[in-house]
Amino acid sequence: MATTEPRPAATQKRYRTLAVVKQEAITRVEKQLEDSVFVWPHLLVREFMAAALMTVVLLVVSLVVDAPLRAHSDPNLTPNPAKAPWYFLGLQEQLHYFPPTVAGVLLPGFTLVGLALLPYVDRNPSRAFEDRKLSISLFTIYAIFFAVTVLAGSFFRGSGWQWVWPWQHIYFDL
Amino acid sequence: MSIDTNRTPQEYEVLSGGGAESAQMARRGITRRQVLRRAVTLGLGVVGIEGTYMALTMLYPNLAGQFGSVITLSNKSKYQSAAQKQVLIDQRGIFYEPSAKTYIMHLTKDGADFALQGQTLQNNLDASNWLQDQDGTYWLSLYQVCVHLGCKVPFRDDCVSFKCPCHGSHYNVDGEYLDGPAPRSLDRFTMSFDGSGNVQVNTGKLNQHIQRPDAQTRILVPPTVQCSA
Amino acid sequence: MSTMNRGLLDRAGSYITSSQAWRSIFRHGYPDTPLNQSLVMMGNVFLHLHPVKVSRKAMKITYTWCLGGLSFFLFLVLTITGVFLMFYFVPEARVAYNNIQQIQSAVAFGNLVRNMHRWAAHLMVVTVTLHMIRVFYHGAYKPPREFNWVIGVTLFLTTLLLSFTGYLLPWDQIGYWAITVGSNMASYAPLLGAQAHNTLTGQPVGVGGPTLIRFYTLHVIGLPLAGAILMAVHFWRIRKDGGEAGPPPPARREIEQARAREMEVASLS
Repeated sequence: MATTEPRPAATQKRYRTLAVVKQEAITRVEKQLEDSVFVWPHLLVREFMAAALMTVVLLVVSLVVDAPLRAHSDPNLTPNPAKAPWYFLGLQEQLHYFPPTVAGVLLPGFTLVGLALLPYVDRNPSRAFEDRKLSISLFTIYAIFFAVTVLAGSFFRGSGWQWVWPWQHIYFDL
Repeated sequence: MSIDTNRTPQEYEVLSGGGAESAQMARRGITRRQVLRRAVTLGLGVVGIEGTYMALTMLYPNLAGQFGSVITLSNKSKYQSAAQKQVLIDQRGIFYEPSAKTYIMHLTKDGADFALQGQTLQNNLDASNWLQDQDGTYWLSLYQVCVHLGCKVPFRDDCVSFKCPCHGSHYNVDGEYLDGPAPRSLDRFTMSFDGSGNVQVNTGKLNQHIQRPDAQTRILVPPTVQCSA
Repeated sequence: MSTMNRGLLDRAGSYITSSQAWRSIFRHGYPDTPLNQSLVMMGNVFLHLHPVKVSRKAMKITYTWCLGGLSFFLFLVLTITGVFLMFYFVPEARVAYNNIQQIQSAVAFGNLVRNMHRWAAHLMVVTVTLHMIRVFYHGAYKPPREFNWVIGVTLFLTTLLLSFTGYLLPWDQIGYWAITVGSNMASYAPLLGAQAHNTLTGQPVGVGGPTLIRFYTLHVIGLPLAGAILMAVHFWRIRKDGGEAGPPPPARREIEQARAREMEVASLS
């Protein structure tokens, strides 16, 4: 029975990881040249312009419109109506229709958890609009529901959460 | 910014920025690209300078109404004048004002024992921030801090003078150096009266140049009482 | 510009860019050759979140509308303006409101900075929401980007909480009652409602001094830190998952039609 001598450590081959190349990257050699351009300057110019434009808009708005500051807070004087920040006014509007546990906790909680689980629930591999009719319509309906309740809570509700048309009076602070 | 997808990426690189070919074109002379690049650099520089200016101005303390600006104290009538020898802290002659960190001295017209006279006296009074009111009484606003090492100097009724508890620097009623380690007389503020007779002290303007007095510059005679530590 | 000026500017420019100090900072020439364009993207810590090259389709403004980038930019604006406001704001119920009034009236550029902070905050909620809606419609949450979508959802929540906690700080009637209404919603949570409410407000009787310091701490350090870490992961994964997803590929029907056409052509020849 022949025994193989273990080679001395010095002559053993040693490896260093220089890169891990994914399978797709190797087969890509066969693919046609990708339709890509250099990030500098093409993408960076676009990002720079977007940031510059945003800065200008923000500066102009801040110079023209003052951030609101109402009277000093008074725990004994609730303004009527007392409204949450605008992005929570959808929930406050829903509180008008549903019991607090549903509208205040379960609905927003379900929305967040549902959104987080979306990629694991929606197993349809295609990204084309045509193949995703169900998920797109469900999402659109839900988004519109939230948008409508936010708008209603912001501009159509007055004292005692009564319906008030915006041309009558707007109870809204940003 | 629209992307012409009819061209290949390579053509696109050359035509709309970047690429070795366009760089060569740029090197031939000042081109649109160069002007643009300089304009962007200049614009960024201007924005940067403005931002820095805004940041520094915003952080610089606004001193209005606080120590470091002109502070309006009480009416003249609160500060009762006294002769130099009869001064009592906060009762007559010398008054402490914590908001302005100052002692207000108010001496009667004849109560000041001047060691000088005539024009020499007048020159020294002016140089030492003395203020003579219309009724002839003398006013002076002294900074409370000892010019030796920064302790607050109390006025000692028993000494009829200021005596620093830290290292024993000793100053006359008008802040003139008497003895001790202090290098000069007490510093003083510019004082004035507003329209309704209130005392105003400009705490942003400090006179720190009153040297130890000698025979030619000593304004008031030293107190005669002994002052123990 | 006269010829002489141009020569002078050029010479000054080349003197600076060939100096040792400059070359110790920028280890490559101006990025107008393919090599330098690659080096600048790989060697610069701020730029290297981007790849060297990017797909032309994914780069289109009308594809992304720059919404993610603008959200990040607004986060930076909010951080800078927020730090400046912190120099003057004391989170104490008796003085907070006065501080805001002082920032508006007595601090140089204080009003402008406060306005910018407020409007940028509202704008950021809008851009983050639109970014999320955009990503959904393009199906960009599908494999391999599932987990990055989850991180995006938590970033969305972080943005809302940042805005919500900031709402209280001016200590005026708007903020006070908005937070009262908002924190009372938490008390309707099943099982631990009261505990959730009390943890949020710091006292059982509603919004008060303890609430202010809690919201302040969350607003200036807790949530921004969480947001920054989540953002780092978010951006890292965009790169690792192959950049932006790009516009959706053709639908199954179109692919099948194209294949059928090809078969037809092949059978004819």
